Order: sequence, then structure tokens, then C-alpha cells
Amino acid sequence: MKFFLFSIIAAGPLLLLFWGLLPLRCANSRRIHWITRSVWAAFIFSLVPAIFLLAHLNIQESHSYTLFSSSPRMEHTFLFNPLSAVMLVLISFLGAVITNYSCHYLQGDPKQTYFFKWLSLTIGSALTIVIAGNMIFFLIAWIATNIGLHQLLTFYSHRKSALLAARKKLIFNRIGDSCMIAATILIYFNFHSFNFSDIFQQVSLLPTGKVPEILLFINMFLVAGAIIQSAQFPFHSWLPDTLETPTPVSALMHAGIINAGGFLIVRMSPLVRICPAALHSLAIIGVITAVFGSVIMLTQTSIKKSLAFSTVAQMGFMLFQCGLGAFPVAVLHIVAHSLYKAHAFLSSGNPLGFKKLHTPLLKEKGRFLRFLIFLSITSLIVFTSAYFFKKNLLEESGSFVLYSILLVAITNFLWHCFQKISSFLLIVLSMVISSGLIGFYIFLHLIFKETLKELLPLPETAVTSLTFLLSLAFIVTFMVLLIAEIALPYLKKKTWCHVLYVHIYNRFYVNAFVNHLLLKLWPIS
Amino acid sequence: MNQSHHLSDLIQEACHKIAPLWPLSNFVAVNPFIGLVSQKFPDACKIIENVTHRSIFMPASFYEEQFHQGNITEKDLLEALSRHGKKEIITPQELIDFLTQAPSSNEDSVLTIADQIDKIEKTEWSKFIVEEISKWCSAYYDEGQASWHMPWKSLPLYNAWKMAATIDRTPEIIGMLNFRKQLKTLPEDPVAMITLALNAFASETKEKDLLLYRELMSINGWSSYIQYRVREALSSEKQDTNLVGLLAIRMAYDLILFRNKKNNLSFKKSELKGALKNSNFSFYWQEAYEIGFQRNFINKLSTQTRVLEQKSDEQKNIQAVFCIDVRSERFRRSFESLSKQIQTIGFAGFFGFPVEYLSLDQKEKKIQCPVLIRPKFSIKEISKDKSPGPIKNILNNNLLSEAIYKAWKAFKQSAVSCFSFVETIGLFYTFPLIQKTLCSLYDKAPPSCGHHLLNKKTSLDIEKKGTSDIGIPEEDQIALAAEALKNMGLTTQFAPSILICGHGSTSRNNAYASSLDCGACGGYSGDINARVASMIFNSSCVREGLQKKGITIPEETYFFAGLHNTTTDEVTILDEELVPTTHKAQLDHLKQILDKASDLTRTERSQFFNIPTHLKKSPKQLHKTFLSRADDWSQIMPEWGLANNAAFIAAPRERTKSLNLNARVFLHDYDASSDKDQHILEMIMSAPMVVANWINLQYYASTVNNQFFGSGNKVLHNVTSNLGVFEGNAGDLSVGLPLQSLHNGKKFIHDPLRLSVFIEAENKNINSIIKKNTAVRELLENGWVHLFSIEPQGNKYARYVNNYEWEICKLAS
Repeated sequence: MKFFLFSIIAAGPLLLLFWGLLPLRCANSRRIHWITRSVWAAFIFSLVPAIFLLAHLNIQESHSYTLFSSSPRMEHTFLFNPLSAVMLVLISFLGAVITNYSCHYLQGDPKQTYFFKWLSLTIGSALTIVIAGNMIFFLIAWIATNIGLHQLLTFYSHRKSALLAARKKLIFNRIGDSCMIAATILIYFNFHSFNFSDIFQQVSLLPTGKVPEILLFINMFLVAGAIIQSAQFPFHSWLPDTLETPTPVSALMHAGIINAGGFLIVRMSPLVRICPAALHSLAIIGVITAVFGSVIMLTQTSIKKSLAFSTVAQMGFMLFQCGLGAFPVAVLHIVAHSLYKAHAFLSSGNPLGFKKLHTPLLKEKGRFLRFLIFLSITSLIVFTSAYFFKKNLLEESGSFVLYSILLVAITNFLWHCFQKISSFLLIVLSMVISSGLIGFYIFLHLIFKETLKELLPLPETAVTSLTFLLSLAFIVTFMVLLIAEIALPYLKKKTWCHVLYVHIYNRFYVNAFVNHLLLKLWPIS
Repeated sequence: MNQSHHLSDLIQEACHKIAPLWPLSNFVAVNPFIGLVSQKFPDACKIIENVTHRSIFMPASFYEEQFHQGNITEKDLLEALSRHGKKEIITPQELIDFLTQAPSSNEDSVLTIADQIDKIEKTEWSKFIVEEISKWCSAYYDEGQASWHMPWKSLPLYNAWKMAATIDRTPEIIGMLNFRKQLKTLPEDPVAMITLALNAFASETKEKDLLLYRELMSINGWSSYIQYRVREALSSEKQDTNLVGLLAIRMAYDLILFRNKKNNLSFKKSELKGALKNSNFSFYWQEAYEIGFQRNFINKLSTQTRVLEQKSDEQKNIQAVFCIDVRSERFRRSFESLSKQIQTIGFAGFFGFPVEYLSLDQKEKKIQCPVLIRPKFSIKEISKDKSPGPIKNILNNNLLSEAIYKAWKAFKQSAVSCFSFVETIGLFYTFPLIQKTLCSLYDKAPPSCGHHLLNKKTSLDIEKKGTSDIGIPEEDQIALAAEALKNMGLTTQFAPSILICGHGSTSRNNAYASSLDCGACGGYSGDINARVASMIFNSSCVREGLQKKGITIPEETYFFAGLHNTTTDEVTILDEELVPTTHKAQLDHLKQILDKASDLTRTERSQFFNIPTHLKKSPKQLHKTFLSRADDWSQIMPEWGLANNAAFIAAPRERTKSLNLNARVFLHDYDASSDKDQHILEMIMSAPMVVANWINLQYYASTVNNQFFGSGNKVLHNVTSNLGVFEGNAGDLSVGLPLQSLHNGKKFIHDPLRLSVFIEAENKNINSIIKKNTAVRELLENGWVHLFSIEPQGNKYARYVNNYEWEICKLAS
């Protein structure tokens, strides 16, 4: 049974890697067809173990299986736990959607087969990252993903801007890789194993309190690897420049590959969570990037640039959630954001702003009504389930901060509701929507926390005064952001506001500076 | 004083050369050389080559291939040379040899300062300047992409840019020294700025207008878009000087670069160079290519005499008026093939009803008529639902739904709440992802096309009520109807069923969707005009009025409005519920025939797409395939639009009826015998012919140089400011058509040919129109279109040479 399960898990990635690695000389003509089939197969293969895991197995236990038992050090090749299941389903689903999309979208391009080869390799390696059971395997898949993506980013290699962006990514990736390699070596020195399960086992036996210095280094390297991979400030500048590549690549990158940084932290969470310094730096960098990215997003005038900065910001928020120790919520964020962003990119040829709508809901009466009914029902479910679970939501790590941010967001919604008119009906409507949103949010959090139990932080982690102060600072940051956004229309006449606009519109010149430097050091002939 | 006066003329001249660019919401085809039509075609080519540094002919390899395939013969080459009086100077053999020679190096001639520095120092200033200007223009003209707007939108463009650029650090980071400091010293007035720059670096340049033209063309996309705004402002009697502002911005960058570099570099004067041998020879090849086409085409047309004789006066059962659009030709042919009782008529797709349309859900009116004329009347959509239920009533409350919608948008897009939005709503995007991916796997309602086409809850309001500016007064309805019927040549022998058939297209996720809609309807679909036309023609008051004018429409005649979906080739009958019960049988009959015609058209069209055989084995299957193509969000080539258009024929349909013209021809019905005062002829030559010429040259330019006159690769398109696209990260706004509208990956679907116009009328009558109409004369005399006349009722063809002279065409025996 176990063997059957794991062959299914491995089949998807292996199939895709096969098509990705097979030289273009072989099976050229039907390759697109076969890759499309394979990626759908990979999706179906990913569903089987996921359902199995949900329905059958004890969800708390991580499942690993020995493939290469000859070498005791490398015995754990695969790690398949609920986290892997969620990510495997997500990536293979998006991979299938994106591959399917590319069939028609790139039809007629002379290099379409080449494109599919590298697409297949990239998706296959990304799937491998998710099921890798040890550091070496993880690292190889990680690097392979970035190599595959590099080929896709330079698909139109005659375009200088495409090369420039890909090179920027290449350089940052190599720094990230070095951090990862350093972390791997240090892990081996400390734990004498590359296997995740061994490492996590040893970590769980560590006495609480004082963290050994070497673990601090390991964690810092891991954090560095994550923030570089997930395009965090100041390493973000390559991401908004990678629009010189076909839309499906942007979708894959923004919905899939960019999450690898977050996944690294979540995967290593048993190790990362014992080290408050690592968590704090993640949270701080994350929140800076979130604010930085989302404010820049407001000013961008092209649809794909806006989406790109939105990704930067969302990745920041996701790592911020990791930094708060709310790993299951971070996974929720990865999943939700990926689906949202893939859809946004793939449909970016059809912006809503084309039509200056007058009463936009007119045509969607039915849908809107359904939405309201749906919301009321879900909120009902949520509150009852919350009651039965008897969860004290605020006790869990980071929850207080995250719920405060949700409330700030709801405040923003309500503020905009009552801009022009206020009627009893509007009050009722907005209340229903807001409570529905809050309820659904809690509901999702509960589900993810329940599914990904093993990622929850250790209950005995005491709240230090530093953590408390930081939490306070984060909440204040978002409140200030809210106030700034609401006050913006009233500040339009102020000169300093104009100056700020220009700097933000120019993305604080990070891009101009990095590009200029790179072109000096590595000219494109 | 005198000098500045002279200068403003120069500036106006340069600005005048820029063609307008319509926004994506109603992307109207436009002649990209519209500012140069007063020049001879080869002269204009020379100017364009000097100014854009790019050829506007196909590469030599293309002509070589055509030569080997026999589409160009040596005789055609000779003819091309003799048309331009070069028969004695150049031999065809020289032209043939030229193809195999290496192209002589393209020597740039009219250069901006940035161009010159780039050439000497191998830098990329030109590209940088384009990106900078584009950055600020897209912020200035943004139509709602950004939620934090540029604060200086109320100022003129030049001043807004100056405010922004004095804060912007980017130029200094890239190495433009003291940019902000120097900027502050520049004048606040754009004309003064241009004067300053010209005096600084072009005081000795003779052709200042070309230098200015070059400066504008270096940022062609935004120049063109601003030209569109200038044009719109003019038509509502306002003034828009932002194009001069843009020129001043461009010159300011040059001036600052010049000041920074003048001590180190020596700058050349920009001057017009004679056209390279390259382009001269390419021009003859192009002309020969067109001659080859004309030769074959005339031979094809001349086989048609026998049918002409058969022109009968028998009463038809169905008459159908279609747009002159080339895509109608294929459908008309299929439609006519089904019964001898069917007559089709080609007419501009707005059917002579220039209206503005206000739909229920939009704030702005759409102008539903060719861009050459202004709409005279407004009509609006009204809700038929007089008694909405309580919940509908609530949701119909505009203010309420608008408030919720805006708040929701703020929740989704604002910096503070976008994170919570993603976490709560993000998962729901699974459903659209699945639905759109699997769209081809399940049956569903066909994708709609046109305005509210399938929404039966609304109707059009054309009646004028009181002093409202909406509606068409009755006397105007009668006048419009009479004019339209006369121009269509439909004043007697009305069939019982008359179909007025507009056209539109359906495609998903396509920024260039409106380029596939009706050009005669201002880049929208033509259903509104068809509906208005048939409502007016069916109105009993109008029919009474028409009778007084001598046009008697029989009682049993009913005008149906239809919409031809050019992507799926379905024809939908509109306003079906208005059809009286007495005409229901006719309606059913019409629908049946239309469905059959659709099947025939689709079968013919399927060969142009890469459709697997199992998807086209039966007409029903093919229909489904076309529907799912139109509904596919990843479909990058939903249809070929007007690609491969090459000719325009104004003649009775009998002239072309039995010919397969492969959807390459604009067909306008014209019967010279019923047009004694040449009123209709003038209308045809000054409006539909010009529109066809615009469309033709847009396709031409986008094909010969897609990088400059087209909008490049669609898979890289990045919609900007909700009005245009960037190709990739940044750069200039794109003009023209994307590559995927012209090229199927293996070869160009569009053959770049200048339009050949065929008019069945007496030469002297055509001459009199040419004499009268300057715009038409310019097009013809300067070689922007080829004009041929067909002898009325006969079979003689003559080519318009010049100066009202004609040359008889020899027919292949």
C-alpha cells in the first residue's frame, strides 16, 4: 500500500522531469500534446494521496518512505505530510491550468516545444521540492526550478530587457543558493543528517530556552534563502521586470515558483520556530516588503506591473505570517494568493477598466444575491464550528496581530461603503458582508490549523516583551497605513505628498539603481 | 516675431504628420501615414525611412519568394518601372539581381541628439528617454489602472511632466548629470522650450520640420495617442495643445543631453538623405507585386460577363444588407448560394445611421459611426422591465450598488486590505480557473457578442421626447431613411424580408478585441445601428413619409435587424420580440437559411485555423469548435479580422456574384445608372473608400514593420493605463495591430498590398469626383490607392494614371 501511494506521489514529478530533461531531438512533434497530458496526470496523481491522507490516515503523522535504503544517510528521500499534500495539489493544479493555457496561447510560436520542455522541467522540479525528504534532494530541486525558470524568462532572448531581468534573478538566485548550501552544510555538521525527519526529531529533543549559536546561523541562512527566493526587499527588483516573457510564465512564477521561499520556511518550521531572532527578522523584512510593495502597487499604471508589486507585497505578508509563527496561516496565504494571482495574470488581457461602468452590479444581480446568501450561511457555519471547537483564537501565536490586521482591512471596507450615502439598507448590507468576511476568515484559519497541525508552534513558547513590542509595532504599521490611505484624498494639495508620489511611482529608484549597476558590471552586447 | 511665427508653423507641420491612435476600447483602424498623404507614396517612404530609420517594405526575401512562385513576373517588374517612368533607367534584371545582394547598410539621417550620442558612445539614451516619457505619459493619461493618481493631471502635459521630473531622481541615477537643476531653468511654455532647443542644437539644420517630426516619431505611440485626443478635442471645438507639449518634453531631454555632452562630442546636422537604393528598388518590387495581384484579379473579374447579361428583374424573396467589411463577402457568398431568391447588398456597416449610444450600465456614450463623420443623434437603452420586484428594486438602486461596488474594490485593491482580501476570497478563484480551463469540454450558452445582445430585458429608445437630447425626431428619421435607402440602391422591388445585418466579434481575454469589431461603427459592434435602422424602416410614420418622397415600401415587407458574429459566423436576429406575428413565418425561414449559410461559411473558414480533423468532421461539430474558440481565454488568434484585404469594388453585386473572392474584397453596391448626379459615387469615394484605405494601410504597415507600426507580440502585451499596451515591461505605447493578427506563426496571413479600388462608372464621372474632392485626389494622385474603372454594363477595365488620365488594361485572352 505504502509503495503504491509513494509511486503515485513520485509519478507526477518524474513524468514531468522526464519530458523536461528529454533532449528536444527526441519526440519533438507530439511533445506539447504529451506534456499537457502528463501535467494533467500529475494533477490527478496528486489528488489521490491527498484524499487518502485526509480520509484515511492519522493526520498528525508525517509519512516518509525509504527508497534508497543502501545508504543510511540518504534513506529518507520523500517526505509526504499534509503540507506536502496541499502544496502538491496546488502546484500540479496550477501547472495543469498554465500548461493548458499555453497550448493555444503560444500556438504558432516556432519555439513552442522548447517552451513546453522547460515549462515541464520547472513544474516537475517545483513538485519535487514539495515532496523532497532531505536537504540535498530539496536543494537540487530548488536549483533545477530556478534554472528552468531562467530558460523561460529568457524565452525571447533577443529582448535586452528580458536578459537584464533574468540576469538580475540569476545573480540573486546564486546568492540565495549559497545561503542554502551554507545552511545545508551547517545542518549536516550539527545534526549529522540531511533528512528532515531526523533533523526535526533532534530539534524536538533540544532543551527549551537557550538556542545553540550554530542553529542561529542555520536559521539565518535559511531566512536569507527564503527572502531572496520570494523577492523580498531589497532583493525584489527582478520580479517586476520579468514581464518580457509570455504571460503563462508570469502566472507560473507569481503563483508557483515565488512561493518556494515561503515553503522553505514552512517546511523547516520545526527548526526555524525555535529561534526567535530568525522569526523576528522574517517578520520585520516581511512587513517592510508588504508595505513597500502594496504602496507602490497603488501608483503603477500598467496591469502587469501592478500585479507584480502586488505579488511582492503578498509574499512579504506571507513571510510576515511565518515570522509570527502562524505557519498554517502562511500556507493558507500561499494557496489563496497563488490561485488569485494565476487567474489575474492569465486574464490580464481583459482589464475591467475598459468599460466605464455606471452600475456594475446591474448585470450581476443574481450572482450578487447568491453571494449574500452564501456569505450568511458560511458565517453561520463558522460561528457554530468555532463554538464547537472551543478555540480561543487569540491565544495562538500571531493570531492577535493577524486578526487586528483583518479588522483594519474591514474598517477600510466599511469606510468606503459610507462615502457617499448612508441608508439603513447599506448598513445592513455592509454588516452582513463584513461579518461574513470575518467569519469566513476564521473558518479558513481553523481548517488550515486543523489540517496542518504539525506546523503549529510549541505551546510552551513564552511571549517575550520583544515579541510583544514587535506585535504592537506591526499593528500600528497597518493602522498608520490605513489612516494614510484614507487621508490621501485630503492631502492631494500638499507638496510633500506630490514628492512622495513621484518617489513611490519610481519604486524608490531601487530598480533604476540596480539595473544601472548591473549594466555597468555585466553589459549586454 | 517673424521667426517665432515661422517656428509655430513648423511645429504644427510636424504635429500634423502624426496619425491618431484610438484607445483599446474602440480601436479604429487608421492610416498610419495619414499625415503624409499629401506626398507621393515613394517620397513619403523616403521621409519615413529617414525619420524612423526603418523600411516600410517587405524584406527582399519576401519578394524573391513571390517571384519564384510566379506572383510577380518579369512583365510586372517592367510595368512597375514604366509606371514610374524608369523603364529606360533600370532594367528588370537589375531589380532581380538586387534581391540577392546584401542589403546596403542603413545610414541614419535625421537624428535626435540622443540618437547621435548613442551612435558615438554606444549608449542607450534614446531608449531611456522613451521609457521616461512613456512613464509620465501613462501616469498622466491613466484611465483608472492606478488608484493613486498623478497629482498634476489638471495641468497641461508639458507642465505636469516638468513638475514631476523636477522631483524624479531616475535620470540622475542613470547618469544624466544635473538633470533636475537644468530642468528648473527651462521655460514653462512648450513653444519657448522647443525654440530654445532648436536654437541650441539645430540652428543650422535646414529641415527643422523633419527634425521635429523625428523627435515626435521617436515616441510614436504616445504622439499618436495624444493626436487622437487632439482630434477628439477639435471635434468638440476645444483645444488640446499637448502634442506640442510632448514635443517640448522630448526636446528638453535632448537639450539637457546636448548641454552635458557638447564639449566632448561634435554633433552633426541632421539632414534628409535621398532614399537608399534599397528602398527604391523595394518600392518597384512592391509595385510589381501589386501589379501581379491586379493582373490576376482583373482576369478573374472579367470572366463575369455572362452573369451580367442575366441580370434579372425578378422579385427576390430575401434581401440582406451587409457591411462592406471583407469578412461579409464570404458570408454573402454562402448565403446567396442557398437560393436564387436571395439578394445581398454591401453598404457601410452603420447603414447610414450615425448615432451615439448610451447603454444602461455605462457612463459615456459610444459613437456608433465611422470616425470620418460626427454622430448627429443619441439613442439609449431602456429597461423593459417596468415593474421590478422588491429585491431587484433594491439592487437597481444605483447609489447603493455603486457604494458597495466601490467599497469592495477598495477592499480588494487598497494597500492595507489586499492581504485580507486574498486570504478570504483567493480560494474562490479556483472556480473561474477550472471553468475557463475546461470551457471547451462542456456545452454552454454561446458567448454573446455586441451590446446586450442576448439580454432580452432591455430595448432601444429612438423616439425623441420633448426637449431631451436623446432620440431622433421624426422628420430626421424620414430623411435618414430616405438617404440610406437611396444609397443602398434599395428604392423599388422590396422583398418581403429584408435583413439589416451589422457585425461584431467575440473573443475572450483579448485586449485587441475591438480591432475585430466594425470599423464603420467606430470600433464597436454594429448591432445598435442595425437595430436603429430596422426600427426606423419598420415605423409606419416613416413609411408614410417615405411614400411622399417617392419610396413605397410594401406593407408585407419587414426589416429584420441582425448581427453577424465574425468569430463564430453565427447570425443572430435582434429584437425578435418586436416582429409582428404576421411575419413570424418569414422570420423562421430567414433563420433557417442563415444557419445553413453559417455552416457553409465556417467550413470555408476552418482551413485558416489549425483545427484538428476530429473537431471539424460535421458542421455541428465545427460550430461547437468555433464557439469554444471564441470562448477560450487562451485563444490568441480568435479570428483573422480583415487580414488579407486587397481590393474594394463599388459595382452591382452581379459583377462579383459567382466569384469566390476569398474575403479579400470590400464590396459596396453601386449602380451608376440610378446615380445620375454622382451623389452616391461621391459618397462612396469620400467615405467608404477612404475607410477601406485606412484599414488597408494599417494592415500594410503592421505587416511590413510590425516592430514600429504594429504592436508586436501579443503574448508580451501589458495593458497600460487602460488605453493601450506596452510590449513587455515598459517602452513606448504600441500602435497598430499585433503580430498574431497578421501572422500564423509560419507565414503572414496578410499580403501587404495597397488597396486596388474598382468602380463601375464612367471615367469622366469618376474624374469629376476626383476634381471635387481634395482628400480623394491626394490619395489617388500620390499613389496611396490604385484606382480602376469598370465600364458600366461592359467588360473594359481602365487604370487611373494621373491628372484625370486613364489607361486601358489589357486582359489575358
